[in-house]
Amino acid sequence: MERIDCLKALAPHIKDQLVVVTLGRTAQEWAAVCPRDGNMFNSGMGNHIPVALGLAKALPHRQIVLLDSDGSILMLLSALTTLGSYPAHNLKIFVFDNEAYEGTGGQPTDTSRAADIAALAQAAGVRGAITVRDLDSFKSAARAALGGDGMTFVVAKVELSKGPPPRKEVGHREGLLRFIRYVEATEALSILHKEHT
Amino acid sequence: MTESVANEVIEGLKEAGVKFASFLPDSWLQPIYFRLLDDPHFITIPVSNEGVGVGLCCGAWLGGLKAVMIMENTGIRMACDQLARLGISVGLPCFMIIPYRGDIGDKLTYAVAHGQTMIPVLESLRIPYHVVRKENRIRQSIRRCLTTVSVTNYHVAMIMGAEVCVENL
Repeated sequence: MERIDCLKALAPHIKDQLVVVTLGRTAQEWAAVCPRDGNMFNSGMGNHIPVALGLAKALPHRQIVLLDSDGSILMLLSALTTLGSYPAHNLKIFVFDNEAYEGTGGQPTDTSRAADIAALAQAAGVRGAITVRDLDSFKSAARAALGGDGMTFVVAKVELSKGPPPRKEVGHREGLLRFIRYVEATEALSILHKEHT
Repeated sequence: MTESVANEVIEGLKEAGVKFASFLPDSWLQPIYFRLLDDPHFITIPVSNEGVGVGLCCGAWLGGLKAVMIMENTGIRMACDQLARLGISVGLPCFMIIPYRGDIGDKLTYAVAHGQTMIPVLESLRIPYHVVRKENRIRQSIRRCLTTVSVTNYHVAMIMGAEVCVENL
């Protein structure tokens, strides 16, 4: 299963959700497949679950989608125990596990040997964490996750991507500002400071 | 810490509009943690790693909530990566309340390292900080710190000195 095909299958389900995205090639592929201001890219390795969970708690009426990676999850495992103990019903997590640090040349992560992210998540209290290994199973898990209430955690075992990555056209600072303005506009709230001089 | 000081912190946070809190507890600020857990005004998520708490607060800010991360000053070292990445690289802020463990008069040897490293680490991360040493300045300090968070979109730390954290120093 290739991650790009999973992302293409996921994109039609994205309407007004806020999508938190990991870094690296996953971000580049998602930016190409589903370009929109409601995407928030690259909080740094390990930080995507905390940022997405905080966002989900702040906006409990809105679906928050997290697209994460094995390397990022493995870097801050204690985020899983927080997620298991304080779940957010509106948070939908997809972890694309290619068993490698793809951005640095494909060196193996621990999931290439013994580590099992869905099992780690379950042991941390994340109910219903599952692993899918083919595109049909991914499509069905994505449909179920995004169509229902309750936190979901889907690990998709994917191959290393082939060929050059797509180019990400929007820079990080601009992307963040667009995301904040999108949240402000769609939630009718103020996040950034306003000068009243 | 007296209940009176804990009350100043809790009420100061409410007055300043803070709705989201995360913490990894320390002994000096004990009463604050139970107050947060018991008070429905706050969405409170305890963590087992300070970096996770910083990330949670940054995410909550992104969703329009004022947030606070409360942790021992050793947490600044633990959360160094999250503070640098989320604050400097990404642009998401976190307001922190931190007891000044290792402050002059702290009776525990293990706290010395926390006191000696706290200010240099904060300064290396370019995080503005304000040390509160009087109970009647706590609410004002919270308000000022959050104003600076808002104006700068960057982390700010309110450091609670030994005078407000420990009775009979």
